[in-house]
Amino acid sequence: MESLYSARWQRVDARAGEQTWLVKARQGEPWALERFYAEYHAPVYTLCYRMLGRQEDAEDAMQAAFIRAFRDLPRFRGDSALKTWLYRIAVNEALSLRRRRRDALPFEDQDASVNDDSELLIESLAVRRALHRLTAEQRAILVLQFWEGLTGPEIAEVLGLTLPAVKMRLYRARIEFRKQYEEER
Amino acid sequence: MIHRWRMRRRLADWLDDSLTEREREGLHRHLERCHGCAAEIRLVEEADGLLRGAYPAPAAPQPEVAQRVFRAAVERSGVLRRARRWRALGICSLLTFAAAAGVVRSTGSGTPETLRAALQATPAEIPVPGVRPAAISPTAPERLARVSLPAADAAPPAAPHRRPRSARRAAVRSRRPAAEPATRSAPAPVLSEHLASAEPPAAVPHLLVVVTASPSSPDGEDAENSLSDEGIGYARAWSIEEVAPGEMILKEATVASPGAETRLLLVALPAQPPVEALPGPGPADPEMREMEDDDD
Repeated sequence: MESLYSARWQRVDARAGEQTWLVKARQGEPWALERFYAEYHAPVYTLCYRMLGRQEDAEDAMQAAFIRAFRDLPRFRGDSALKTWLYRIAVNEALSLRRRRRDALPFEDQDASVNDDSELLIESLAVRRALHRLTAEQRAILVLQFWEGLTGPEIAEVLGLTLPAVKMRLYRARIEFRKQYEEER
Repeated sequence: MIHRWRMRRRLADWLDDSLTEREREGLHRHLERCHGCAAEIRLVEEADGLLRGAYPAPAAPQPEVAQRVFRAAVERSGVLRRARRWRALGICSLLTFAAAAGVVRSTGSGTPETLRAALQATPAEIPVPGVRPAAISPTAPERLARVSLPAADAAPPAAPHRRPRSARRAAVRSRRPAAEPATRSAPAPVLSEHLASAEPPAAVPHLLVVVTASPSSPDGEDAENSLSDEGIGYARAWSIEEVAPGEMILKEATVASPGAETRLLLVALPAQPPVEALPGPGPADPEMREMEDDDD
């Protein structure tokens, strides 16, 4: 991403890690906020897209997540990892968006226009459709586990649950997904 | 039902690979017997296979989209406005502090005017032996006293040296006359006690007490009434005004008097009973006071 404020963060980045620019970002330094955004906007967008299934909605959720993150950053105390904290905000914003637009969220077959009827593509679309038929909470927990690669304790932190609750919900979400996939096939 | 719930928990743990070897063997034995649980675990394993790798990451947002979202997030979160406001506030505070320090320095050359200006009180005459008339402020929130200092030739205060509280209390007790009846000089030891305990009883009205830092008493009182072990020097307490019970005022001020700079410590402490009824070192029990009066 091209820098909006200064190229300073790119020089800082070469020398220092997250802790350096995070302190400045909490103080509202523009270059550090930009550095923070550059680091995390792609994973947040991917997470939102997988949860919502539409590009526009993913962009809206990402924007809402960063508005809230920039606003709350001075209160971030570092009790959890920055990524986990940001994912929690993003998941909440995506769930909130999903609730607001419950009726206006058709599944977006992005790859449907591709003239490819390979088994892999069909299966991939069936998986996405089955995911889309789950509740937003079930989809969130599956996305965090299988595609974002978060561990059980990290998912518990993102979703505000206990670890046993995460395990049980994962278990039920898998069974429900498998049933929905069967219907999609 | 309970069995099913427990088995699901066990299966969830098994999928999470958090079972002990013994628990895992028990689960396998159960799955050989229970077809319902075996079918369910098969479903879950198939779902795992489908979910792994079947959802490639979408393309990252276009750079112009990313920049638009960033601009909007910065604008709508107000993060830059807030940072600018805090910076401006910090600079203003610094400038105010620097300006105030400059004013005090420029006006603080040898008269009590510095203290008067600092404490912002209205005058009220208070008779204090050895000290020129002081004033209290009925309007100032902390009701601080202003005094004119007699310490034109006073040496600077001794360097503070704090001993442990128990040692200070013992020192105060050891210097107190054993069964001396209450006199005009009684408030200072009582002041020492309260300074040592730092917990004035809330049930009695409070007085405003001024502790000056001149190294010796201006009217020649003995060391019994001094707080030199507190690192303060001479201490004198007198009633200026009652303040609310439980109220504690603690403030320091620096006054430049001719030849020496003197520090003032303003403290609110419990009011003393009338001088005649001061209990001395004994308990403040009313019956005891009556007995002492009878003895007199």
